[in-house]
Amino acid sequence: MKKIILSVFVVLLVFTLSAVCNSSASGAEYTFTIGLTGDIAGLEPGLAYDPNTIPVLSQITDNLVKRTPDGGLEPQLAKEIETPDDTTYIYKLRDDVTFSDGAPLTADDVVWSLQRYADPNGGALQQWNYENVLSIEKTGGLEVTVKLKQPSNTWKHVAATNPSYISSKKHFEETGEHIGTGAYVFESRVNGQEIVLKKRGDYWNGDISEAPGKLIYKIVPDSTTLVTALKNGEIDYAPVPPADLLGELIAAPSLKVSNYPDRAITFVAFNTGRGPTSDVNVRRAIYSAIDIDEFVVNVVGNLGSVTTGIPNSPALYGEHPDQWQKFSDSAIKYPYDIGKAKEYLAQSAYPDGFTANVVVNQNPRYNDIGLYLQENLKPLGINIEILKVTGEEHDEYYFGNILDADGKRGYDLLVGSWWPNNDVGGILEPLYQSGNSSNVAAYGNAAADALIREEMTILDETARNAKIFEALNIILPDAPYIYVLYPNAQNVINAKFTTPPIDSTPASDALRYVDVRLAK
Amino acid sequence: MARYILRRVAAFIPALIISSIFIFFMVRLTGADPITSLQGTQRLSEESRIALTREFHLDKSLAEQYFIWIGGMLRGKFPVSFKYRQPVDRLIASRLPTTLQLVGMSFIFAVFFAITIGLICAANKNKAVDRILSAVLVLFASTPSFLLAIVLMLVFSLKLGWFPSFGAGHNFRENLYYLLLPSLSLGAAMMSLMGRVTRSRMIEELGADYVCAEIAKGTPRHVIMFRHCLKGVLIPVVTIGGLQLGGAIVGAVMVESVFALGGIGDLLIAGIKSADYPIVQSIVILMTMLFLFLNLVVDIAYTALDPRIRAERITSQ
Repeated sequence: MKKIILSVFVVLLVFTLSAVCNSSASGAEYTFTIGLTGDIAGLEPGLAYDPNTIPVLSQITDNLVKRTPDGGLEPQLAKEIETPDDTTYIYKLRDDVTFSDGAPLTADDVVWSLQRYADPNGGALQQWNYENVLSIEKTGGLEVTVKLKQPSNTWKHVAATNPSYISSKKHFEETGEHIGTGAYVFESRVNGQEIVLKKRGDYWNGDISEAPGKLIYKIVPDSTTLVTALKNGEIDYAPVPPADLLGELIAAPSLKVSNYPDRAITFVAFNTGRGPTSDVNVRRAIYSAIDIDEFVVNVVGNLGSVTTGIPNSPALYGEHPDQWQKFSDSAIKYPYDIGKAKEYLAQSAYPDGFTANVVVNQNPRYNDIGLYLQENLKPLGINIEILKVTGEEHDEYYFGNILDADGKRGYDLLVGSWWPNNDVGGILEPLYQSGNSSNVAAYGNAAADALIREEMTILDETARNAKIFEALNIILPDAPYIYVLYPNAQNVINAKFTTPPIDSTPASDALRYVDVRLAK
Repeated sequence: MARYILRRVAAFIPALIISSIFIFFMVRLTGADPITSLQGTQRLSEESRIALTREFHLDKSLAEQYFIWIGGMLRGKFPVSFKYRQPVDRLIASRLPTTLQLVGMSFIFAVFFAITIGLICAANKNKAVDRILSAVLVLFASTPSFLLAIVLMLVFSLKLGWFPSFGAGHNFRENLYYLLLPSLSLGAAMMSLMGRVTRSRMIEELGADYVCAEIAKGTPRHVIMFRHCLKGVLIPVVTIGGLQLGGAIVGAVMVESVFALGGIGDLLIAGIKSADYPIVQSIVILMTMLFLFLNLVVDIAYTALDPRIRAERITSQ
């Protein structure tokens, strides 16, 4: 027995040592290794709905229109877009685009790809983007016309993001697999471990000879492991680095941490549908009792910025920042004033205080906000109980799937964030319109609802802004949310690489690794 | 022996039926909504929600859902993962080799070190070397495998740079290199218990009358230990090792997560997080089957090692 055990052990040891030698001898290759926090849902474009799947599919496929790093839009697969009226978009396709199998892009491919998203039974998670679409038709050899039911200022963004990746109809029908027109093509995948894409040799859109030859996506769910791998150089880039270990990454000399303003808003939502937080004076009292600016400056530091009292950060002011700045200056706010907070509470149905819970998840920032609320509301006699849940449970609360015995959302307050698309109204409708699952405050106001519905159909941004401001002037006095901070976005890259500015919000598909270069 | 094995295998059936019911309903007790999980922090149309609910049979009663699942499993048809939209058996098949290799390597390490340390301790009873090694065994027994995994990673990957911090490699040789730290992390607790049992059993054996007789005959001490005592020592070690092997499959979940090995454990955790019931149910039932099978293997090994047990079982048939 002992001989068998000894022999097995020795064989294992020899193999291991030989592998060590073999591994250390392997040469460097110009690849770019990206750390994902979970496996991708698949290579089906309809599944590209999470921060791990999107950065993979966005390298393989293209859109009719693309976002520029400064937030603008420009044609990509389409060379020209005509809008003869407010509900018709005619996309004239480029004639030099080829899929990775060499076949040219046709109008049939575009129609087929978009219709797959639009089909409610097609399984595409992004189908909601097509609810306002009346028809998608081929109107020429290289022309596709999309007709909307009513004017929409969000359609232009849909055509530029993950709900509209274009893939080859013919290839799918022949093989059951998707290929796109992107700079990279799928090479291999080991479930749960890695996805490898290789650079196309016949890319249609310019010279990519200096781009990484391969993109290797490694799946590393554990934060400590991801940080170790980044510091070791086993991973070159993390689009969403772990927030709790960011300090360690900033301190590492081999890494560059980018920290830049984002469009997101981090808030505390009051459940306006039940209990003390349904009382507007309670909400105003809480808002006035906490010194949010002090919290952001001292706790968040340079990883976010103090809000201007409105949900839109300056990164989401659109084409007319002056209009937003003016509105922001005049909007109703609840600055820190403990005396005023006591006055509001005295006017409420709970003058002596109450006990309420606040839902947070493992995000350390959310927990900090919960603790800050807990500490600062004590003088008002408001006892805050922190309900710390997993990220998945937090999503359940957030979207109103966990209800109390009365069928109301099962929390009093919830700390959360919203990442809008690059549209000035990208926060308004999700967070405030009655009945929306993402309306975390369960807020409802018929007049505001009507204005929101109206602003979504206005294409002129000045006229639209006017409606948005009108709606916010109704909403802000009701204080359904505390706007805590405009969080920055971060990404981490090994210092041996250079990149142009990368827009890296979690749902973003603007990460073009074809622009990454090995530093000289 | 064949009849004994058949009887034991037949006993698996009711155990598996009860386990499947228990697993199915326990998983559903969490109340997590798989569709919300797919949605993440983004929106989903009501039409899509209804279509997906129908596609995943979530519109049916729990009893119907159970029979759809278990009926499919009995026909060899695994359910389709909600998130990955592919049959769970395909997902498991691509990840199982990593988990089996991890557990296998950790078991080999555990057995080798446990027997070696146990014998050294027994041979040096109450001496300094015995006390130090015994303390090391206690330390490993009380250290959770995921914590040891993080410590080993920080020391050998981050500080020394000797090993990769994650991944399982691309071929068998790379697998051995990549899985060394994970298997040591997983094997440490197994080694600890087996080592302590080896030590105490060997001390007992060395005090037996037949050992005194061998010493009187002038047989060298190492010959007595390896030729005469070791077989008796191995019987409880095999029993404990077998049980621990089952436990190691469960323990692998955490180690796989730390080292991002992409094995069954990783898949299970991802399934739990995303309320992907088909993945969770299928993996847990698979682990139950594996556990039952390992128990059977241990019993057979026990019989092979101890003639008294073999005789007893033959008589009882």
